Amino acid sequence: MSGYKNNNLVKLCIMGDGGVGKTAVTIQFISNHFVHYYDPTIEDSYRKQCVIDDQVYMLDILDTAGQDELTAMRDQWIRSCEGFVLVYSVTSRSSFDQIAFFKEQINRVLDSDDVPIMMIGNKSDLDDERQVTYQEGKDLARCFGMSFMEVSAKTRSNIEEVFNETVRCVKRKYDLHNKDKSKDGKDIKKKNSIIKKLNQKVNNTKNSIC
Amino acid sequence: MIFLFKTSNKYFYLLGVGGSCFLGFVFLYFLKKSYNNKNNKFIESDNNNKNNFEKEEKEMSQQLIEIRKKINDYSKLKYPTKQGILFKKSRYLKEWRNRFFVIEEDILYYFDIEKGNNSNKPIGTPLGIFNLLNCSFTLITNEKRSPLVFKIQEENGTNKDYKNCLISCESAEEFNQWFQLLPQIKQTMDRKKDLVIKLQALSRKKLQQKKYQQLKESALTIQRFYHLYEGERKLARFIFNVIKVQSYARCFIDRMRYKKIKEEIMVIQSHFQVIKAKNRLEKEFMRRRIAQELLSTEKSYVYNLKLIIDIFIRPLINFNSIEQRVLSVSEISGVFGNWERLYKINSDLLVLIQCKLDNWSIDQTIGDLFIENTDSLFEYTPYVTNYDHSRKLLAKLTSGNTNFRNFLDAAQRDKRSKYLDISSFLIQPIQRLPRYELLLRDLLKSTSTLHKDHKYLSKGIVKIKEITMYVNDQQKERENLSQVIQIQKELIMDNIKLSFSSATRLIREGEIKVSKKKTWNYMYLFNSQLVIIQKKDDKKLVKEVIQLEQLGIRDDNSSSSNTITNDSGTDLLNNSSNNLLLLSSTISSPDLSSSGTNAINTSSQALPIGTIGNKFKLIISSKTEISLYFDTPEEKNNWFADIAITLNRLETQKKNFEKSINLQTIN
Repeated sequence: MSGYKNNNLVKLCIMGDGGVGKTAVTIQFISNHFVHYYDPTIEDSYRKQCVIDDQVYMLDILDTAGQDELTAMRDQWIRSCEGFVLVYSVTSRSSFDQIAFFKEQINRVLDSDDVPIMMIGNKSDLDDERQVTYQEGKDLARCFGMSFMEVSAKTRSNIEEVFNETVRCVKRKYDLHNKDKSKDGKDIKKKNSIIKKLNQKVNNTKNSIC
Repeated sequence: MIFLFKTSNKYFYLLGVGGSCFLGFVFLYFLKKSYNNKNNKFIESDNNNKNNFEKEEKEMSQQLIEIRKKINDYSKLKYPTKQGILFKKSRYLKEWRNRFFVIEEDILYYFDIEKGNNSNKPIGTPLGIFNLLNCSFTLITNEKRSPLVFKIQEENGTNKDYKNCLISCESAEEFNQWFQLLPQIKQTMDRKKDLVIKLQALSRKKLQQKKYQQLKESALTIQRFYHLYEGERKLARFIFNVIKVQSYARCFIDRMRYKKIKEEIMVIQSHFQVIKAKNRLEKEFMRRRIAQELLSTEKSYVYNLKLIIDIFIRPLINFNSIEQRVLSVSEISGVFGNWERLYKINSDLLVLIQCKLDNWSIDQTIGDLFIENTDSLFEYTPYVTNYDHSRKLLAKLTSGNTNFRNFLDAAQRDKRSKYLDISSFLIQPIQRLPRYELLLRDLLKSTSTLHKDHKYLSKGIVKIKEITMYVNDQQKERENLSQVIQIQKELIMDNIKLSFSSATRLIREGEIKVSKKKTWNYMYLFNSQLVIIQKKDDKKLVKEVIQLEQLGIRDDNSSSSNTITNDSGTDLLNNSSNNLLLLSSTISSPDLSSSGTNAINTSSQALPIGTIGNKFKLIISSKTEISLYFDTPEEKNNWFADIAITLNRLETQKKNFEKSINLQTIN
């Protein structure tokens, strides 16, 4: 896990099943246009400067297009990033079922349950072909402790909000991390045990919900 | 009339010679009257031949009879030529008696005279009638009475009663007058006859003229009719021409319509061909564009590879003195791996791709390039396997080495790097390798199956996939090996022997309890053995090592007995249906060394009832059993599934090994 830097660089990773529109979402956010009939994969790393909550951030976004079967190489990608955007398509039930798999992999690789993850359902403009309802997505995201939005790369709905929310999650985690460091050494053990119990309760709540 | 005038003049001259103008006038009047009557008769009869003339005479005699019947009195004779008292000798008694004689036209009448008075008036019907035209006059000198006697005799008369008679006069002068007059009347009548004939001929001519006129009129009528026929014929010709023109026009219209239909057909055909050609062109356009993207992405990738060499690697190596050196050689190779080798490989690949696109045509192929020239991509394996080490080393150097951090900041501000972090560059080889498959797959979609390149691209995709999966598997093995080595370093073994081979893989680890009352312990599940350790003061003591080849597991909390064992003499297929489900799910899973998600899925399939409780038993031998307690039922299920999968895989490997031994024995 690379540390948070003073120049407000945030590394995000776009993950999801094949064909859900990861690159389209990224290009829509970076370049403000939707590629209709030809989906180029020209750039592997996308960087954009944006203002979130009166703060200037530099987003470095990794696109994992083509990594569907390369689990080991995907682990390397996961270790490189701080925040994650899990993408599924509302027109594909199988891509929705893969979200749990990606969440599991992120938690296993980073060995942590507290990872800033944003879950988005793409292609929300194709209501005729919808196979996953909004409520289903919201419920699954709540079970995994993730933020949830439905977006459309074609109509650019909620594209900005997705990345803004992801950056907020990363920032929130960093602030919590700083607070932890500022504490005295005496209270570390006690705090850890308290956090452990809270995590257990949260997990129990999640299990009951799921 | 002139002829009549001439005739009358001549007759008048003769009469003048005679010395009597009155007689001439009377004769002329008579002649005129007779002419009119004769003329009418002849015109009406219209006869030329003599036979006709004879018939005519018979008719005249009949007419005389009729006249005799009609003329009952002398007063009916209105226009006499000459009249007077003459002596007539009777036929049978031979006496001379006084009779009143009257000549009117060409007929001689004689009447009886009243007795007693001296009036000398004729009375009663005529006693006799002579047609002067048929009579002859002769002098008779034998009579006793006087020498002045002449005889009137009809030549061809049919009436016997009035065949002839003798007439005498008192004076010679009167005798001469009557005797000369009668032949003159006959001559006149003959002349009149000729004139009538001429007039008849003339009238006949006139009739002919009339006929001619009528014929002419009819001819004119016919001619007019002919003219009408001409007009009609012209009209017919005009109508025919109109019809012809219309037919021409109709033919023209049909031809034009046919032309239009044909043109429409041709337009439709050309449109269809245009659509076909458009589809072909679109496909070719997409194909060319993807090929160009392959070139441009390869170009930018090679540029970035060279950029790292120019900005980072070469300056770090080329520091002259030891004091200015920022990183050691081992550190440089630790961070960048075989970066220069990757640059060489992709530079060569770029040259080949550039050559393909410089000679681009519809028949150009790219798949053959990836079949023949991508074996060098296997050299990505060292870089990919070194990436984790590189990332950690980079983080360490950045935090520890101030000179290196300053060097990185200066390099990042270089405009050529587009303000990307060094880690963004270091991740690019890992990103680039899977992109080849994406690009070739897109290219395959845009290539028709008839194209020569379709086969090459299919094979190229297979080859690229082999390379990437090989690199991925190598990375996975590297991770497992480092993980096992790490665990081996941490473990402390006092009395128990624990050995790891190069094939050892960590499957699962977690906290367990051997009994309810005891404290938590820790357990590792490897692919061949199960290790239970105890933690004391951050030290890990190995308590027990269980070989999986002789292990069995049982879940007593399920409704039915669910035992899996590999002991000799026990057949797995004879166990309960849960075992069958487990085996089938194990066989159907694509990867036996699956990750947690697949384990969860397998567990849910194989153990639908075993969600109660949080423990299961390990059957080491017929006498020894160990109960394992877990934190949650879910965790228990996960452990149970992983152990079951591992046991089944060992069983499969054992069977395959035995089969191979049997085959060798047979050979």
